[in-house]
Amino acid sequence: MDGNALLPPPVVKLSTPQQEQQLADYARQIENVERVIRAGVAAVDYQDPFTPQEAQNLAPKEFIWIDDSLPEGAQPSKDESAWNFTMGGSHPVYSGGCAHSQTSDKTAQHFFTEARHPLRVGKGDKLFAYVYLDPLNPPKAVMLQFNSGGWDHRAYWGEDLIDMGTTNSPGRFAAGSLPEAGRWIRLEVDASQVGLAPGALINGWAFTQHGGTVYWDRAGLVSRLPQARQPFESLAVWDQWQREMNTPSVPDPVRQAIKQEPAKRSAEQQKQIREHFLEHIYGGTRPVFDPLHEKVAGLRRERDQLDASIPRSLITRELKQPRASHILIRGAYDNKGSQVFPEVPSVLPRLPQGAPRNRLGLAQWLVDPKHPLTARVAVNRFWHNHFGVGLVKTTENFGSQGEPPSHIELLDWLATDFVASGWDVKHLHRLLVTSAAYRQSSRVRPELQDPENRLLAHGPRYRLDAEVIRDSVLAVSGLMVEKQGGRGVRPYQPEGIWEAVAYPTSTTAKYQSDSGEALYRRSLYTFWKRTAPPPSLVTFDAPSRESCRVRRERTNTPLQALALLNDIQYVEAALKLAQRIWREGGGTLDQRLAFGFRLVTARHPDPRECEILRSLYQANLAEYQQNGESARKLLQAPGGAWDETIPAPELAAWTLVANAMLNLSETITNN
Amino acid sequence: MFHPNDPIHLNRRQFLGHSLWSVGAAALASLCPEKLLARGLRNNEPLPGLPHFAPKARRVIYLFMSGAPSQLDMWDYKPKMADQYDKDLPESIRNGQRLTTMTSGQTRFPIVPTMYQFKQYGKSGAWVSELLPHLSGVVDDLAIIKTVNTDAINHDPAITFIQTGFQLPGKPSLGAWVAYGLGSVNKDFPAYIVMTCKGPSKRDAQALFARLWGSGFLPAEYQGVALRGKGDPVLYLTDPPGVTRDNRRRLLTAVNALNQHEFEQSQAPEIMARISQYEMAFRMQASVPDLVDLSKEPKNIIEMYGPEVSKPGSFAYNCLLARRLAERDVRCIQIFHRDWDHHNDLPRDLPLQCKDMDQPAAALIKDLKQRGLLEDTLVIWGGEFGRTIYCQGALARDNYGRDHHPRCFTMWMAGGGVKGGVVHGETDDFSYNIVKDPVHIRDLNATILHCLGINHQRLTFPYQGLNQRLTGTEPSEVVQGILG
Repeated sequence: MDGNALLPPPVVKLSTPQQEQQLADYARQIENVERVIRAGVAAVDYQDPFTPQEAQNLAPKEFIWIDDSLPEGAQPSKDESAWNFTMGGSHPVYSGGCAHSQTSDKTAQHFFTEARHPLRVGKGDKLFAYVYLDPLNPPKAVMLQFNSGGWDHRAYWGEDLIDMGTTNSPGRFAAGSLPEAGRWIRLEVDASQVGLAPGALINGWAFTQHGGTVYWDRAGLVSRLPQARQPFESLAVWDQWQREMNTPSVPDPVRQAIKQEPAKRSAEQQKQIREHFLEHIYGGTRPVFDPLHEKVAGLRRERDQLDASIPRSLITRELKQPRASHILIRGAYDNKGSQVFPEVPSVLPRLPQGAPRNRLGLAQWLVDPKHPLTARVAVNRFWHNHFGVGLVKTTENFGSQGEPPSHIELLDWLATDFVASGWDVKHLHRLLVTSAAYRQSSRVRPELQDPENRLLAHGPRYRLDAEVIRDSVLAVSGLMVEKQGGRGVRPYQPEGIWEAVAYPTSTTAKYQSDSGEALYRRSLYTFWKRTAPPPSLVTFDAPSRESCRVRRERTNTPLQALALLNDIQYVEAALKLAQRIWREGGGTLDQRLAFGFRLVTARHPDPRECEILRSLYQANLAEYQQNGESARKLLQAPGGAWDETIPAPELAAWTLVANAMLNLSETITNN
Repeated sequence: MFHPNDPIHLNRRQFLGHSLWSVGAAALASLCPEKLLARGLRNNEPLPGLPHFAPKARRVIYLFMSGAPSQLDMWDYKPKMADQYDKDLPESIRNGQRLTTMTSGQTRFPIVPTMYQFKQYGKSGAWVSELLPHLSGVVDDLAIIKTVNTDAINHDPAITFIQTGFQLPGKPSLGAWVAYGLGSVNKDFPAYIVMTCKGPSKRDAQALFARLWGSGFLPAEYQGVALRGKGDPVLYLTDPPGVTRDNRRRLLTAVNALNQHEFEQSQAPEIMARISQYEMAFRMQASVPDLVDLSKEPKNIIEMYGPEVSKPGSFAYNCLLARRLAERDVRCIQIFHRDWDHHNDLPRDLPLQCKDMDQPAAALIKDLKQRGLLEDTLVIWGGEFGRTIYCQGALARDNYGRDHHPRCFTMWMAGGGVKGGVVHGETDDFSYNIVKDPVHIRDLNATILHCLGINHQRLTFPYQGLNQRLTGTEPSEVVQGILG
């Protein structure tokens, strides 16, 4: 399962020349800024304040992380674990203006996570915090916990009563006895004792106690490294830290270079490390390079947005090494027979000399002008499209089991003409639709004894395909959105069609129809779920697309009548067609009837037809004038606005006349 | 003021008696059947020559259990397995046969006997599990086939195979073949009606596919029409708001009059067929609501089908509708019940499934029987394959799962054309291989067609160079042992 991924590879990107140009512009702008950065890096005059030896032996410094307030970005615990900063006065304070405290009769704690600038743990670093135990209500134990992605880094003082982590592990390290009550004591623990190796990052801290009243103040880390927001000033210090830390955001070649012993690094590697440090790390250059980096990032974002908006399409691509294919004995996938290789059936012409054994070779073979076979099949399909049935009726089968052509010489002539025209499809369409055979009347002539019309006793007469019916109705009603391309759309569909068959957790378990113009795109763009295809199209013989269907049946069912009468798509189209008739059809009833009738049938109605439609209109109008509420219900049915300058009874009556016109046999028949 | 002879203002009775309609009907009738057929117009008639012989069944109700119910816990009693718990399935039984990729990686294939009690029921003494307290009461009406077997091992190809006779999509379903061959007896309903329902379990039900009731290469008019538990029972059945029945009648009369007028100009018989389809659509707008209106069903009948019967879309509701459709002489009625795919937690889910299915299915048999409908209605029950004697995943005394098993599984038939109280075929002690009287899917489908008076070798449709058949080109036989 691919989770219904939209574009499993291989795919191609279909950018317009304008988009290509925009992409190239972005590339150039990005390159320009990067060039400025590179020049800037080269121009930096940098002297490391320390030698590598000095860097290793720097005196550790105390970094205060928590004092009177939490570090930037920290998310404090809430509710019972809320932070309680107490000002001085009656309360003890070690440094600054306040301490934080908690009182409990059981295990209690307050903590934070997600500090934006974490503590950097280096070799030999120590974590510390100041604590004051209330002598009148001392706790039985206190604990410090450090979050480095997880909380399993803990040290406790006093009894082993706080049930977190595993005893005698870095997750619950016994750091000593309970500190003396009634005075400020500095608690200190080696980072390594609580399982924080050099390179670890601390982004959260918890102050935990078992019972009593505890005051906490000034806490942080004793380290040789710059901490939190402090930038690195020394390449040697950063070099050392990065070697321990191996930060993934550092590009791979620089990381590889830093892993090397300094003495063993090549000149190129030294240069890479130095340049990365100066461009991205060194405090002295941050004001220069950070804005430039932001600029590049912004350009990249815009470029990526543009790139993501470019449509892509699935394609087929040959494997570099074709996979071995075997005959599967009786079709069983685990029962392989002899290996087979690309070749064409031996009864057909051979592959052209030197043609590759792949899709290119197959294409060359298909259109090889030395044979007329492909052209025959192709012209027969176009004939089928225009006449409703091919010269070879079995459009999908020209083999010995197919039907012989009704007009063998015509088929051959069309095929050779098609090849001679350079496979000009437009030329072929014009040839067919301007022919006498196509333009003759489609009136059936029983006296000619041609029941299937295979001898073309009359002009073509066939029910339109599902998609063509929907598209024509959208077109005559003025709803059609002729926008081309883009993703598939989800027009109206009754609820429950997908649920009836889908895996309940599938991404296509529930159909949500689109709104706005997506409802009125050509049927070509309708989203297709093959196991539950769009019902109003399938009703008119659209195949499910699970297997290739060259030739559709043309059925005539009551469900088609119900769809054309009641599907919301067609009710809405009838309403819009009614509005067109009212606005554009002229001033009189007969003019309007003739206008509407011409729109759907492309001919003028005769007097009898006018009479039937006129009385239908008048009877509906009389009813809707009596019952205005019904008229409004009908006009509201599609859920959109209607033209309120038209009186509702008139528009409702016209809507039903339009509904009738769209249901005429002639409307959905090519004749 | 309207003219009294205006066709728009005739009521329906007048309309049907009016010359306009008579002309249409006469025109349609005046064309000989071959000519209509040549233009694809069948008018619901059977194909020429069908049925091939006197049918025992006029219609089919097919209860399809999608996901593959466990024959081992329901129908195929294997007492010798009781002391084989957690012992390895002997290699002599498995014999290197293909497994699914869900268990082919297991290091062991431990036997898991059913944890449910079996007893003998009825005059026939058929063994049935305690999970089926209602169906066990009608075993004397059932022909239980223990040796159905299939070629496919995964759901999609297996369901497609049993429904269309072929593992790949593109072939017509059984119901479409029947509708194509025999046409429709009923003037108010399509010949083939399908209902889907969801089982009660929480697991992710296997997907179904519209192809399972599709018409493949046959004309789409033979595809199953979904009778839905949600929204319109038949798609687009309801007129838009603000359109009364009188409005609709008037509109159809006008459309028919215009079409009739066009027919007189063009002489194209399709137009007359379209008029009759619009009339059938109008009738369906009355007949379908009448079908799903259960308010006149007596209380004792409602109760027979169990408590779920009041929920549209439930299996019980669909079973009751199936009986009502049978009364209306619909040719092929199919209910798809989902969620039978018990790879794990079988004891949690199988009882829920059985509870949902058992009472309504038994009620359907009894209800058809008491109305005399069972005599000429063939009822079929089963899934796409069976399940393995060995456990999939962790094994416990009270919890286990079973993988797909295509080599033997149980289905039953009842009613028109089959003998009641028959158990056909035997499987080995492990319900793994068939010992006697195998019934391949092709044999099963040949038998169903036989009950309907169709010789499966002679119901064909030319497509892609072959006279296509539901049973394909390989040999298949009608199962004589269950025929009444």
